[in-house]
Amino acid sequence: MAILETKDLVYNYPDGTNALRGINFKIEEGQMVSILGPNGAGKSTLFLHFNGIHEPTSGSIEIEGETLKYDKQSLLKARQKVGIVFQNPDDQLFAPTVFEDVAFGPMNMGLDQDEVERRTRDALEKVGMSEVANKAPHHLSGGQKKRVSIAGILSMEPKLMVLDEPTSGLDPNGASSIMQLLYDLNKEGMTIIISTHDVDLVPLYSDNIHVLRLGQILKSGNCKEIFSDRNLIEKANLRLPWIAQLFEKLEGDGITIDQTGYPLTVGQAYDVLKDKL
Amino acid sequence: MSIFEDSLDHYAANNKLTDHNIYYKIIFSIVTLIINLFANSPIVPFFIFVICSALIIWRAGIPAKFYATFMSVPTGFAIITVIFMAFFFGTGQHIWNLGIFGWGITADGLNRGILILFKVLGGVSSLAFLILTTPVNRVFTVFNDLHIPPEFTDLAILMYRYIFLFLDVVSTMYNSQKTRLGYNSYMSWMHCLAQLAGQVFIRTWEQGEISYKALASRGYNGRLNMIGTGESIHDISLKEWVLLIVFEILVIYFIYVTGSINVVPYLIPV
Repeated sequence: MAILETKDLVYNYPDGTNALRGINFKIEEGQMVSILGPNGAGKSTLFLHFNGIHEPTSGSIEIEGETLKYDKQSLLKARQKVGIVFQNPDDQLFAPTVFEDVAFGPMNMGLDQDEVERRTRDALEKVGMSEVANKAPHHLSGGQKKRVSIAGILSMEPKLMVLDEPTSGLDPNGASSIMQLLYDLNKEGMTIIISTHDVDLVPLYSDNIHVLRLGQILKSGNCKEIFSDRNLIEKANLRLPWIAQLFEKLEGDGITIDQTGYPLTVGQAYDVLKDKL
Repeated sequence: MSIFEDSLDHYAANNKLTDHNIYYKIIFSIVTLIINLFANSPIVPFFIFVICSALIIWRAGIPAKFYATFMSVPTGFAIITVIFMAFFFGTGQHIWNLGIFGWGITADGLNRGILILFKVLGGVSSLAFLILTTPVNRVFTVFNDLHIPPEFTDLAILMYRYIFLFLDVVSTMYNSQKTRLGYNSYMSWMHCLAQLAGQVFIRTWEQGEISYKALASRGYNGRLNMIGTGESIHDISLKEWVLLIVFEILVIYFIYVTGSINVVPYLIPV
């Protein structure tokens, strides 16, 4: 069953700018989906529709088959099911300590104290941040802040977790370890949507990509389908992953290594090259 | 995170008394402060100052230099008060004449000034004991027990968090202005500062909007529901209670004994 579906979602900003122009998007339970798009494509705006922060100008959002309504109770319910991790952790972390921040969501859900504490501890454990529980957010590094803001959503135990550019502003190791964390969470059954423009990292973890540009989904498909579409990549202001560029260059010299398309990750490249050499 | 290494916030969260029962620290500090106010002689406030400073520096392990910086502002004000009191607020004969305008120091004024100086030192150091050894967030949880309206606590929590982001934004913008040769003359200084202030205001506004969205995403409903840290006044041991009560009674006793022993005429005979 589709856990979240948008139907002809249109959103205009109060000044009349068309931010979203008819988005039809669907995600099934257990999937890990990437939304790929350049800056200003409407990724963040789209995400804020998923839990009812923005109300669409026209069109509708369905969460587990139920059309989202915009009264207080329905919104609270939607926000328990769909958790959004904001791009800048400083926008999200507000409490004096990490523990209190992670406990904020479950407290709002009206759970009893013991349950809140259990969830908070579990969430911090999962992201590997148990030892900073009593620190103030401004004493953490960027990567730690990111993990804590993910824990703040995990503790609400949502059905679907939406992350806006989870790797932005992190060092390479920090970025891969966040992606690994998301991959592991997905393995455990969490449905995940991430937005990104990091074309090198995405193919490693996600095989279900939607390309968004100027408020429209240009194409949906798996990595091979997306990255073999030269036209699309250009139109969406993206580029091929570095590995794929190498193979593209080789192909220009008449050396075709893999008939099914360019390898996209180091692992894939290693496999095809090992057979050849 | 080096800019926070030498801050009040850092020491409050990382000293040997951070994890002590907060209620105990609050009761000690407030009761001592109040008793200190009843002193009529500078002797007891002076000893309160010595004891609290010793607790802060040796028991809690706050660097003496940082503590001295912390105390310098109230001490500075107190010394100015001594001067004003000595010259202008006393009655009676002058014990020393300045020689111009007929100004001079009176015994009464000097006594009052010195008393205020030591009361300030005693009071500030007993509060400093609380402030320097306790992270702010734990004080917030006590607000709740004191039935302070949650609106105040919520505001305080948000202000405490965002002040650090605010400082960060200000310093980034300030540096970027200086990088492009801002603040190089008086007019440019005025201009740059005005722009900085305006930009910071706009940023604050935007940040407020985003923060609201982020809070709403986690079910914010107009009230910040914070989890308690689970500390209780009942966790204070009998030994600690006895120690506290004996200390405060001793302080009261000595205030009674020292009565109004003052600088003049005991220290400086007239």
